[in-house]
Amino acid sequence: MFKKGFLYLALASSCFCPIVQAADMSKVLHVNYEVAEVGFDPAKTNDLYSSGINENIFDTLVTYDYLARPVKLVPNVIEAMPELSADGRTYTFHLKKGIYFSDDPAFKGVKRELTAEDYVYSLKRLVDPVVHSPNGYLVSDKIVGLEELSHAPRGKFDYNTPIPGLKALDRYTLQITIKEPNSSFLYFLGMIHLAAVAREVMETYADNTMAHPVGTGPYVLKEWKPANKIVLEANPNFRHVELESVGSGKGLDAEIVKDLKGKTLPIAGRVEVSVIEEEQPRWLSFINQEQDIAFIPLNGARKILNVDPRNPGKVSLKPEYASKGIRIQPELLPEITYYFFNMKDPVIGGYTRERIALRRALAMSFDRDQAIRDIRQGRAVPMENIIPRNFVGNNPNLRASTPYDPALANALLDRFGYKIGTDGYRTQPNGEPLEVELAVTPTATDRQWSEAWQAAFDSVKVHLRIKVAKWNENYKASKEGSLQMHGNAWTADYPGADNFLQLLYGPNSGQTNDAFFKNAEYDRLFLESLKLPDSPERNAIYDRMNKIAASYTPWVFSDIRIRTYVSNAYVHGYKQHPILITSWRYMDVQK
Amino acid sequence: MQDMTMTNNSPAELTPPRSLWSLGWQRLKRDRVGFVSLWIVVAFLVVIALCWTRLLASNWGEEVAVPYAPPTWAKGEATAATNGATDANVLGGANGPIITLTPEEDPIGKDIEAARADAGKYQLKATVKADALFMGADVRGRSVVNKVLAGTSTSMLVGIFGALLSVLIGTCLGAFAGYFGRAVDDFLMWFYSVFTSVPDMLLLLAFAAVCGRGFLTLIMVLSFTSWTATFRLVRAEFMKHRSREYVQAADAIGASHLRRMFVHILPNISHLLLVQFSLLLVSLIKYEVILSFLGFGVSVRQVSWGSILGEVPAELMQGYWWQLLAVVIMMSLLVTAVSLLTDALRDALDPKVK
Repeated sequence: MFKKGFLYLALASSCFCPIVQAADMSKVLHVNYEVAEVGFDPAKTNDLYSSGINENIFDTLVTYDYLARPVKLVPNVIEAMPELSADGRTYTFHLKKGIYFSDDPAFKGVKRELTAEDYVYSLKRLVDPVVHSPNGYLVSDKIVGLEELSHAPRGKFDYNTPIPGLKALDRYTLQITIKEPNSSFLYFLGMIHLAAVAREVMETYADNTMAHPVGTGPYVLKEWKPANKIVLEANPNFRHVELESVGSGKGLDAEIVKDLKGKTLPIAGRVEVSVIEEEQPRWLSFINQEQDIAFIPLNGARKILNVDPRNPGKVSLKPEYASKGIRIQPELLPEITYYFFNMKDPVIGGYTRERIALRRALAMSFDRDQAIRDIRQGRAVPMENIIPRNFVGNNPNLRASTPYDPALANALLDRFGYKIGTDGYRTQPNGEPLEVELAVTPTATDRQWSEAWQAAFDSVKVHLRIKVAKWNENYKASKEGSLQMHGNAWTADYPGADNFLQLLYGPNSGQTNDAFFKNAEYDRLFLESLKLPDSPERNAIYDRMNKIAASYTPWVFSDIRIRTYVSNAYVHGYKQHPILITSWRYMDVQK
Repeated sequence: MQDMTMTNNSPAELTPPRSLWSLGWQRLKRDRVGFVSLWIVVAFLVVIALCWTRLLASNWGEEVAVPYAPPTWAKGEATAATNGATDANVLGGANGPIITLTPEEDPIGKDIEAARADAGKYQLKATVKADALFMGADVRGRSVVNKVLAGTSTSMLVGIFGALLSVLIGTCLGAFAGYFGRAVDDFLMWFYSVFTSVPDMLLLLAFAAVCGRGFLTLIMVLSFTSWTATFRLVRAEFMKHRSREYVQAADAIGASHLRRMFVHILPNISHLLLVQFSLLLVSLIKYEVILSFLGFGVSVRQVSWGSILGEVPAELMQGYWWQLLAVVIMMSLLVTAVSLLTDALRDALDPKVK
């Protein structure tokens, strides 16, 4: 009787939480990476490629709406978006019940449910000195008590130490308290580095967590040949999820909503990721339908696309590709590219009017439109604002770049006493020789940029010296402040304007502020803007910060690249997200 | 004694003595391929002389055509880039008046307004850019003909001076090692082993990374890494020659070591050095191309075959093949000619061949 009852109970419980294995295991998605991955421990990696895999294995508290633009945060493993206390510092999350980790020997045959403690553990893990996470900065100075915990003596880091900022109120309720109100904090929680890992797994595989990802996400790691091939398979324990996003309700969005209606995610049972580093073979492999999605190589743009010269966003495929049913999605990358001047440098730096004039004149001398046309092959738009276009806070009416005008640049330098010497080049106002050094890398593209800069410097009669070094050498030198001038690109970590504005924030000098720019008003406005929600008031602050940057010209604003994503005719449900790295769970292949 | 020499000399006056060099010249003239190659190489030398004296292609940097203007004889085949300048506004979103930094907000606003009045004298006249050129144009609209000629001059000068310096280093060190032997030889052989133990390309890149860019650096870098073959050759020859009778005779009349090495022995191996020089010339031109291709070559103001070839992969993907064609023609012509000439010289100057 007792035994029988037990059996009934077991049957009943299996009906209460049906494990839906919806993914069609015969459907295989073929995708590729242009750079090799590092490993699959979300705390230990911060490269795009590892994170793309982690995104499919692990779950963050919040995630992004698949179709909505501009991007929008939505609940992921929580019932609803968190409650925020009146002082703007305490967030309360209610986790959904019945979310399980994928099976692993570390769980000793027991189904392991996701709980609030898992997030407490995972966030603490980011500051554990043994883990040595490159992502600790995201949380350590924000969550109350976490920094103190990270200063624990070596070997004494205890995960059981309670800290005030990070509490599991009960099995499914998580409370996070931050030191200062921060409008971008929820974006951090959407980053894959802050996903939940299981403590048992991390402790079982402590010496090689990179190769043993166990999460609650739609896929599990099936096979891994480092830097060559990664195979994911649908996670049989994955909760029931359907597409909830509606997007704009027209065009591609409407089509995706219709295609995915009533389908359980993920759709494809298997994802095969190959690493193909060279542009040409990657493109050929896509054309031969060995890859389902790809993007158009920069140098191939003119061969593959018809570009409207007045509108780089308006493109169409050449007939030979269009006839194959290939579809394109041109997207502005979530980035800015710029050349910075070192503000600490005795020649090019400084805040006196004559130095501002020198930097302004050099910025005026650079023909950016020509560079976009010839070097970027028309696949870029000018950068006009420190905050990239399509980001909340970007004012599309603002032009903070310096307009191209070499004649005015010459007149301006004359006015400030940069006299033309006997060799036809200008000297400093105090009569000392004037020469500026631009650091570049030994690539063919950088040679083109060097030639463009050489032409610019020649047009204002200033000596330019070009220093060629490997990217990492320049990177190191720029952090030490020993470069005079160097080109940079910054890609969004999260869709907050502060992620870009911090590039000129004084205290970040030597970290992300390569220009070593320091301006009291800018720094004050930056801190003020962090506390404000999206509002006209905050937008006004952002505009003012842009104008400060335009006044002192620590940067020459360059451009924002357009990447054209492509998918083969048989691919459904694909839309590239600007922040999420992959769209694999939504993709269907019908060959 | 004097009579003896007189009598010995008299038949020689009837058939004048022929040096190795004049014999070699006779043999070279008979070798038709070698002779043609010689004239091609001479033609290249004339080109570099003209470029060096700025009589030819000195204006290669001028932007005379539209970007990627096609060759006149292949105008229909590819169209030049015509994408106009873009404006951020075209992506939509701008809905009000454009906001820029006002002169009042700008710390140098007043100066800019004042300078605007003087800007007129710097205003450049708009020039008409050609739609097509004989061999087309590159990304900046520079003539490919001029660019390739200038590149030829750079690459050849690097090759010639690099090879000269390399032969000089190799010969001096080889002469000392071979002539003195013992400790000097041991030391120089050790030095030689250190250099040869590192792969050539790695050594080149290491030198190039340390020394920076430019014409002179390239010559130094290339010769510092390529002297080893000459060194071995010269060392072996000096070992062979140092105990010959004529060297002993020179010793007997009191010639110094240096005189014996460079006045007595060196002329006897000079034909080998000439062949070595031509071999080096070809390989250094190739190395220069590789270095420039990798971005460690000439500076932005200079152009060489390697720096042109560095631009080619990106151009080919877009369908602009004319720079590649021009460089390939010049490069294969010169390298083949020098190689054939070297072969011919080796045959012509070999004393064993009659």
